[in-house]
Amino acid sequence: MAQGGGWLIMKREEIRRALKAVSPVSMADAEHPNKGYHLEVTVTPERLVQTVGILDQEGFFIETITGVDWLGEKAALNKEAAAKDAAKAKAAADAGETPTAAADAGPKAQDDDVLEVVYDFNRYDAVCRVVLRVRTPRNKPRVPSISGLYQGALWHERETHDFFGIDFEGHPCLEPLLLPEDADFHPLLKDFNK
Amino acid sequence: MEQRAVMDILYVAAFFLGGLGFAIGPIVVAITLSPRSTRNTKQKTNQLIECGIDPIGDAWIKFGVVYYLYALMFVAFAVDILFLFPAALVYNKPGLLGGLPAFLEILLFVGILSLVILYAWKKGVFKWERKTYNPQ
Amino acid sequence: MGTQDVQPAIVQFAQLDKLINLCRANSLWPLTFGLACCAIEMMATGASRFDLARFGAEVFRPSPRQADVMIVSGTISRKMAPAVQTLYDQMPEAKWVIAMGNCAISGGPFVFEGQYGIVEGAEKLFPVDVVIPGCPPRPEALIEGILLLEEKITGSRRWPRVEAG
Repeated sequence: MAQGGGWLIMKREEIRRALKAVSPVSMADAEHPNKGYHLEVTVTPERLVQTVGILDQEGFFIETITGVDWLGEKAALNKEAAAKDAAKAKAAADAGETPTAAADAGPKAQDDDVLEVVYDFNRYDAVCRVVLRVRTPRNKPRVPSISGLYQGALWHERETHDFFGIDFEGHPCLEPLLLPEDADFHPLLKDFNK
Repeated sequence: MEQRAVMDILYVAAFFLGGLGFAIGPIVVAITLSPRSTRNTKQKTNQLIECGIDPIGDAWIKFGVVYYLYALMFVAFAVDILFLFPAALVYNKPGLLGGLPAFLEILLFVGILSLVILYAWKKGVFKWERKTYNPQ
Repeated sequence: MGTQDVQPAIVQFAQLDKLINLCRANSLWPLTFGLACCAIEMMATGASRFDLARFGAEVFRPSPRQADVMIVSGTISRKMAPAVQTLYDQMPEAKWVIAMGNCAISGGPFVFEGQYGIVEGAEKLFPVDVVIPGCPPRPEALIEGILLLEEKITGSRRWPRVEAG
């Protein structure tokens, strides 16, 4: 690419500054050779359209939209936390100390799991990929549609709706794209077994 | 005279019947020799063809008027040629000087008709600028 | 599924039928019906190196009304199945179907228990006359399929049979 690493770092800083306005849940740099993207941003669904608007003004184009089913994540995290507590208690018991009260309650809340929508944005002048992640509860997945800003997202959102069941609010035509028109199943969910 | 007139009429009748046979013959052959039904899976045999999906919209759409103008030009000059056939029949005086007046008359006739081409040219009929219909 | 009896012609002679079948066999006009990878091999067969034109079959018609044979080349997804059936309906008799490639024969490599996406074989939609296995079959195999179809139509084979080895 004509622009070297310096330009990329500068660009990344610019985007970080611009995205501070939406107060994202998390923002992390990444090594492109390792991960394939340069910046990973997680936002809430309410801030999604604003974030995408900022990226649009910065000159990005939408590359792809897909989803991730995090079924079992909360249970796994709880199990991990419980195992850590047990190991700590065991270590404390071995060392002969009095067992402390169950500190570090950890993520014990039995929330439902989430579905995540992943947006990949890239640039025309150089490869600078920004990944945007939005989480939405699994029992009623709703995410605002960005097809008002990027018409190219129309089909990607239809496909993600087909395979994950995520409802994109404001999408003009959320019909099945790849599945038959009368399909009422969502195959890429982890608990889909037909 | 009588014999010749009858022969001439017979020629015309033969050609007429030949032309009729040429037009109707294949239709008759197709109707008698082709199967009368086709195997169906969804009873969609008689549906208009649109690459396997249900047709969207009407087949009677607006199309560019350039097609009409081209066809009009063709018809006009086909009639022109038709007029030249009887003219060619009387234009058979031998020799250059003998046929010169007739030649000049035909030239005049064709020349006046070609003014139509000039007119159409100036009006831009031959520039195929098809304005497509954009339903915005 | 497409197994109705065809109402025959008004006029039928045995010798005429033989002649007509000979004409049909040597000028099979396929419907351009490429669905997936096998379509690339079908295009290669129609191109110059393998040349389907030698057998009268390179005139791929885009309209089903003018086609004799539908070469189902590729995977039939459940979303595409109604379109394939509609095109089969719209072809007039006499028509034949060649199932080219494993996907058109029985679903091919995409069959697993609980699959939701494809129709397992064109046989499930309409009757198939010639089956060409392969994934994808080589262009020579498609040509052999066309020759087998010609043999099925006329009753005898005009071209030499190639023995292996």
